[in-house]
Amino acid sequence: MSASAVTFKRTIGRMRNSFQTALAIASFLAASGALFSYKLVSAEGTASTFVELWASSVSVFLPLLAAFLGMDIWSEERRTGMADVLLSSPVREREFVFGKALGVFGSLAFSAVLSCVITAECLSWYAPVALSEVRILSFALSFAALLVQGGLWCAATTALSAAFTSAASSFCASAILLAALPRAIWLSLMAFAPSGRMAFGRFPLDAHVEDCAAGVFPIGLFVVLISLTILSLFLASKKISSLKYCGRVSRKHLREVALEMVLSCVFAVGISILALRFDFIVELPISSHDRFSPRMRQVLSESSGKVIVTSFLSRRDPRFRPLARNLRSLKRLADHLGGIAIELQYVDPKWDIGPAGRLASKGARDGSIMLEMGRRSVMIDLADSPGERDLVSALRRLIVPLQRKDIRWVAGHGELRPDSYGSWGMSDIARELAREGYRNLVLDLAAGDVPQECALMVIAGAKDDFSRVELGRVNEYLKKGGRLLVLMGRTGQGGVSSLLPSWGMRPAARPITGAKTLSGTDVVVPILADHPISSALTGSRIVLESPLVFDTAAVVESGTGADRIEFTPLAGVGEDVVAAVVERGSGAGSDLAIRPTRIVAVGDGAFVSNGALAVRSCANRDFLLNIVAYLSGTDAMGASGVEPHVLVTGLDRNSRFAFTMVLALALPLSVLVVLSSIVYFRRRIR
Amino acid sequence: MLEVRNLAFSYGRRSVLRDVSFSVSPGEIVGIVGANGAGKTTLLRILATLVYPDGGRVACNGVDAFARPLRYRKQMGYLAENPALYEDMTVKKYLDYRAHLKGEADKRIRRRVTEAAALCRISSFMRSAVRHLSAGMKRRVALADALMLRPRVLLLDDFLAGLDYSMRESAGAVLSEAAAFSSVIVTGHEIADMAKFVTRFLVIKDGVVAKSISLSEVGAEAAVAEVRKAMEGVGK
Repeated sequence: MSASAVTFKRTIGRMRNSFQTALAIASFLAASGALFSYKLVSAEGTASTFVELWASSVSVFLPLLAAFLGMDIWSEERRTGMADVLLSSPVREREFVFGKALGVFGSLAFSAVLSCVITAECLSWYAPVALSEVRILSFALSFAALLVQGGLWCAATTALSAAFTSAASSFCASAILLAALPRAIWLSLMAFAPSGRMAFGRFPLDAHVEDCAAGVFPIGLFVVLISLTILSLFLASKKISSLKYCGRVSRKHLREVALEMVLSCVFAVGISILALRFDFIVELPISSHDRFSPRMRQVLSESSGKVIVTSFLSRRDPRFRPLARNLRSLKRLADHLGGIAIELQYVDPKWDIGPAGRLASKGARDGSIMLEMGRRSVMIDLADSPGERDLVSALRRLIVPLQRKDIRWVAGHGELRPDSYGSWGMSDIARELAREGYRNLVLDLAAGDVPQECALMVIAGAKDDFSRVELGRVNEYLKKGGRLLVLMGRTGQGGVSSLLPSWGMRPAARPITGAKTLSGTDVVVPILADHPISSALTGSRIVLESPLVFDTAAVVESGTGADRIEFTPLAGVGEDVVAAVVERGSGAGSDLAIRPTRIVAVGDGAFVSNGALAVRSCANRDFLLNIVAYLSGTDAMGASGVEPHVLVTGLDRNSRFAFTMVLALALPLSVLVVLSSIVYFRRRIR
Repeated sequence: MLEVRNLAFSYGRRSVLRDVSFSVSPGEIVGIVGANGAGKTTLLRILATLVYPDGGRVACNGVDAFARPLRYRKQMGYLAENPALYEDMTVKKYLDYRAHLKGEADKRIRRRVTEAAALCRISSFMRSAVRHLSAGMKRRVALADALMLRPRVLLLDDFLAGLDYSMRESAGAVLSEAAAFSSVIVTGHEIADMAKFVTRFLVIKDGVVAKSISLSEVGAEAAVAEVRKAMEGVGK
């Protein structure tokens, strides 16, 4: 058995017999569990996966755990005099250093595995759906990234422990240098260099773990981490060997050792700079076809022709890597489906002068994606942080040039406006509609009749009553087969509430009962599945803030043929309907050219406001897009409520609390009890 | 054979060893004595390669201690003045660990440990945790560690400190047995006790070997008297 292996075994054995280690591991589990729980809630509705969230939660606390586990790895030996015993053995200092660092690393890896197991177990109890997307390769890569980072922390902690005779000093130095300082520097850059935010991007080590989870294997960063690990081990062994130089003449040797240390630092930094300069990336096919929504599949498969997708972005831009990854996945999907053929091009605005000039002449901006098909082209600006939806919309616009339809947003009665960018504004959804080919215009009913070309009138959360003239103009519009979307205000009064009963809608002044809540004031309402608006969203849920309920008992379904008014609930719990559609004229024969009147009312005026869409993931956005599509006469646009790669846990407030308590408190305490019991009984046996 | 030539060492401006030269033949047990601060412990730490000297040479059977430290240490056993042990281990596990660390083959370790334990009279404590042992017992464990692999050079710093009466009485037998395979160097202040087993005294004074007194030539009592005489005036 080599000396390193013997030292490794000894280090592991020492940690196994220590209450301190049990406490450190339990604290690590509690802290990373709490962070995971927080991130899980925050990431609801984003394109995050369990592996990414877990790995980024663990990576924050790994340096602290390494600092704690390794704080006395050398300092204790120096304090007790055991270092003399070891150094008088026929073993090289570097073998001791390597064995000890490996021992700390072993405990660290064990803690990481334990954290993964209990997090996955806890998630399987409370939100098993979040585990359904876990891929072994993704997990293996992110775990490898964590281990490589952990290796650096262990080596650095070992080096710092060799520099001190006090474990407390060693811990403080390690915690500051490894955990606090890098994040403090990064946060300072974020705070004081806003112009450089895009260049710095996310905290590099967190981004590294998440990149690996997504299949991007940055060789350069791995080289940096490994070279710094080797440097730390080298410095530790030099520090240990320098303990022998305490005589007067030995100062010369000490200077030599110091020079060696400095040169090795320069060498490691040089290698790191080179590795980062030639940042080779190996991409593994983790993100594949099923990251795209059925809508994207439909667009790609039901069309033909060749689309050139050009990334007009610097390769050094932090957005380039994920963008390129997504575009490659898109190409693979298109090849797989056999419809549209996609050709990818990457144009660097600074280096590819010719292609960059061609794109610029077509109006492309630096930091955009250009989609071209024949003579048509569509640009997506990356400054808007576009997602898959935007790509689908752009493809649709490219393949099927849309006839622009006008959406008129009624103003003048305290309505939410499409041009308002605050949390109570509707600018996000208006932009989404604009990407779908609609034109958002403001309508002043006091100024005149509703224009003929108005495809849809929207009254979003009106607070004040409409005048009789305005009500008359709305009524006239509806009678001509108009389309109206009413998002009710909080009180149920004001706006066109007095007009709605005659069209079969009666808002009731009572709260919804029996619905789940996420924050206490909101309600989670399932979408019902027997209408073109909602059938594609089966199983999805919308989240509304204290919505009004529509009285289904007083529903008017009268008349025959063209005069028949049909009321259909769209979303609700039991008898409490919070969204409904009424249609008049749909009973007419197909040979009669009667445009049916359609009114959709939703009990929450702000359910697609900027604030509501930013907070969480739910089907609100798609629900509204489908309503707009239905009312304006096009087919339902949203094929599914939530895109397949979006994280949805289904945890409500109580479940979240229970999940956090179990993950961050109960399970770590159990681990502490079990590990402490093992230590206690092992000691008692002796 | 251990050879020490012109060894010099100083802590800052304070010169501790100036020109120390001596040699120890196999089978010899050399007692190094001197007043407090004479440099005995420093000398042994240099011989154990724990401290690099300012000048001079140390070699064991021709192997230079500082040019080829690993080969040298393989032939050397060292008992520190205040030996440290891993308190959480049992005595047996500690000795096993040390034997593994020194590169002893697995199949021989058990025999080596058993022999060393018997020699140092710790066989009955082998399953005890080190932290439960008294200071004297810990010293015996450290002694067992030092001579376990039959080193060519055995360095015992302040050897008799902390040993009980019976162990002191039997120390001669232990060292005589060790001398069968080693050149033994012992330091300490208990000159009369040391005279029972050493073959030669080296008196360190003012950074040099002031006197070498062979017990076979002058006898134990005369040697003790000569050592005391040689040490007089030291520290004034």
